[in-house]
Amino acid sequence: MNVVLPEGSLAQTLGLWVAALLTLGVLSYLVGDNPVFRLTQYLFVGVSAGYAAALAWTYVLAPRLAELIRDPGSAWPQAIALALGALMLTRAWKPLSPLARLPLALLLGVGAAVAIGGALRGTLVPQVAASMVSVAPVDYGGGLRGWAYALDAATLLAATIAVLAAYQYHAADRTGPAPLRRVASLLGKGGRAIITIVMAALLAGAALSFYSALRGQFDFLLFGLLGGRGL
Amino acid sequence: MKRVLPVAVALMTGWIVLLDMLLEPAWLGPSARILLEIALVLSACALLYGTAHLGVTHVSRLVRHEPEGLYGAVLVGALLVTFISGVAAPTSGAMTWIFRYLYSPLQATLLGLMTFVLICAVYRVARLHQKRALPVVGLGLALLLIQVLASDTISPILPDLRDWIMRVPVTAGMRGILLGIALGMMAAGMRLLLASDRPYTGE
Amino acid sequence: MTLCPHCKKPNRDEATRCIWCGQSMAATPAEPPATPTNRVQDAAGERRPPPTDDPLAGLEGLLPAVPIPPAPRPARADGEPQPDEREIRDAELLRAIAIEPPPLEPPRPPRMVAQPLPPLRVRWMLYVLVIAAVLIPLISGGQLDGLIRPLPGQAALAESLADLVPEKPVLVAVDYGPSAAAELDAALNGALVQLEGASVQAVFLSTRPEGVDLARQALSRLEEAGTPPGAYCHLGYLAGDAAGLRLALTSLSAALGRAPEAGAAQEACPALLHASGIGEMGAVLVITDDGHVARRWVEQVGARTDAPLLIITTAASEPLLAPYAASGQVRALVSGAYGGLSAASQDPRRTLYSADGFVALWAALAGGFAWGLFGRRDKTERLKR
Repeated sequence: MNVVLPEGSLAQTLGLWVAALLTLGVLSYLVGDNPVFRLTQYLFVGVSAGYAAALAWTYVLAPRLAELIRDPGSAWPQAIALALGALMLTRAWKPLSPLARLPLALLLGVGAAVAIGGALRGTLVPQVAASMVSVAPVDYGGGLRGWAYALDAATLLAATIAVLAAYQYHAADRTGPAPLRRVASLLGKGGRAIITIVMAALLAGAALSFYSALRGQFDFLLFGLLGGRGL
Repeated sequence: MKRVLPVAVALMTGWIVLLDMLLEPAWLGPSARILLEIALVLSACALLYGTAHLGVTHVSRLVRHEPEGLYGAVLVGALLVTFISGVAAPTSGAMTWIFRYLYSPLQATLLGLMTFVLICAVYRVARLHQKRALPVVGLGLALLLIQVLASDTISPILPDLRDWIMRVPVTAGMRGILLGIALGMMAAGMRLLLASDRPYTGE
Repeated sequence: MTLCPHCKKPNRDEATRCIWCGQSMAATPAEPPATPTNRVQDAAGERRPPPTDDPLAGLEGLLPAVPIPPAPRPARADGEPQPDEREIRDAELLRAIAIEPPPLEPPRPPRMVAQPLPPLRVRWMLYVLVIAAVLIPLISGGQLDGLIRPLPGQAALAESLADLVPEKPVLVAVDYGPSAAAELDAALNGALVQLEGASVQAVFLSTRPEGVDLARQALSRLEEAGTPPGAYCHLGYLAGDAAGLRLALTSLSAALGRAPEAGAAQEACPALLHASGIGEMGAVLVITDDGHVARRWVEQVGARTDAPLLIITTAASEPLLAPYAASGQVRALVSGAYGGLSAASQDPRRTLYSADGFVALWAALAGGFAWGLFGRRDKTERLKR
């Protein structure tokens, strides 16, 4: 169901002006921290928390509760889930607070398992496999192009290893024979240089994203509000 | 018993879900699905309780007449109005109005404000000659230039250079970081599944 | 060696503060039991001369109270120096420190590391640069838009969408917040137009609360464009993060329950009659501004389904996902900032979305950097340096 606020209605006009005032309220931070900016911050936290909680109730808890009332026999997993959810409330009352450990234990146990499974099958194995590529120019068709691709593959592999070595380079435990430590140190320094490039790329991307958000609000103020269109 | 039972629950549920994810035996599938659904419901409950706690904290600040208490009143008011509108009529015009005219401009402008913060940070890094940050900012500006000018008309090399930077050094560096994150997540997860860490018991 | 009056741990004689607990060594909680001599001293209220065997007896008060270092003791006959009493005490103290880890130091006031903000005058100049960068497309009129070459991810996205068959629906995960709407809306619209062209049904879902209303807005735009209502459906909010995705992979109805927008998932959404879980979709298109949310989709869904995973993300998150695109786990990765330019140019609504603005942003940042690096310093700054 898609709600469309009527064009030109009082709700829309009021909304546009409220949105514009809030936009200016947040931008007022440019002149320094002030009560208007703080007000917008608190308002934002309140609305976002209320919005997320309302969705959690509407889309997760209410449907399951309704199902449980409608058909208690077949909805026993929902009954267990909601009962455990209720047990979480006991955390607020000290004599019964140990009971809250059960749902927390389940939540953390399942969460840890899902994270491990995902990291292993979704990142660790495929990314290591993707790093193990041929560095022979013949495999890329030979010639100058083959050499270029082979060089790329070798750089990719070496840089990945260097970044991993950077963790060891920072680690406190630096045992092992001196030549090995020297190689690890060199690789670590190389890894840090690669991480600097990644950070630079992230900075460039972040600049574009921040700018896009600001540009969107200027679009709203210039064309949305003054042009009389909705958001 | 206060400790043994939660540890047993965490280990049992965790290992059932992990084995189902890795080995996918048919007989374990239904149990794992039920556990996942329970975890999903519990995460929603945790979100609700967290929101309630936020509200209670700010109400108590207001009652104690703390300096920022009045702002807390705004927060609690906004929270209650949004929550009640969302629960009473989730797809109503009121909820849409709140989202579009309160939530959206606030979130978007807060992120947009970061552009101003960023340019001040860039200036400051350069002004103070911060040795570690200077290469990151200088390189970042160079990469941004390559990105914004990635046009064949300006130079046929620029688009290829942009692609190469993303494909080789950035991919390699990020791959190393992602592998580190994955290893860290696995280590932290295994500590939970081996009961070395028991945060749910408050230890 | 002196014992700390608070924690009773050994310290050097001259220590003023305990190395174990950080408390002052001077503040002795209780006086030691007085000897008979002391008692006489205290009662009389006068100072007694030091013992007569002291070589400095009688000179008390004439010399400053400086501890006299002990005279070096003669070496043993075998030539090995013998440790004196103080060295033995130090060794004992060192041993105690080595065996027993000291407690955390008492909190110290944090050192001020933050540098002051640029002066107000400079800040305002920088702000003006940013605002000029935002408004520049008003004057330039998007001169550079036509020059930008489409990104490799855009071609891959177009190919993947063209390969879809109408029988299998596509899951569209709207997982971004309003802050990224200006960057991602145009790219999402472009992808939806392509989906409509391929007559593929789109099933909308959000694993982030904010995504629900943004998905509704996208559906409103589809309705406005005249797309028939049967071409898409909205499942609403999927909670539980990774656990929710893992469950939805095999059973969408179990993951969503009977949410209002989903109804009984399959009934309200005819597209789902062909797919009971995300794993059976024709493709999964994720639009997100959060690299970690995208990673979750790759790990929980992409790794377990043959359906191609297509991601539209912000420029800020693109580097994080580059390895997944390089490994083939993500079939197409599009950065919103540039990926949406072509779609935005076809939008009749007037906006400031233009490649000119990106160039102006670079100029502003580079100007700020150069000003910081080479700008004239006033006297105070020179003194600080």
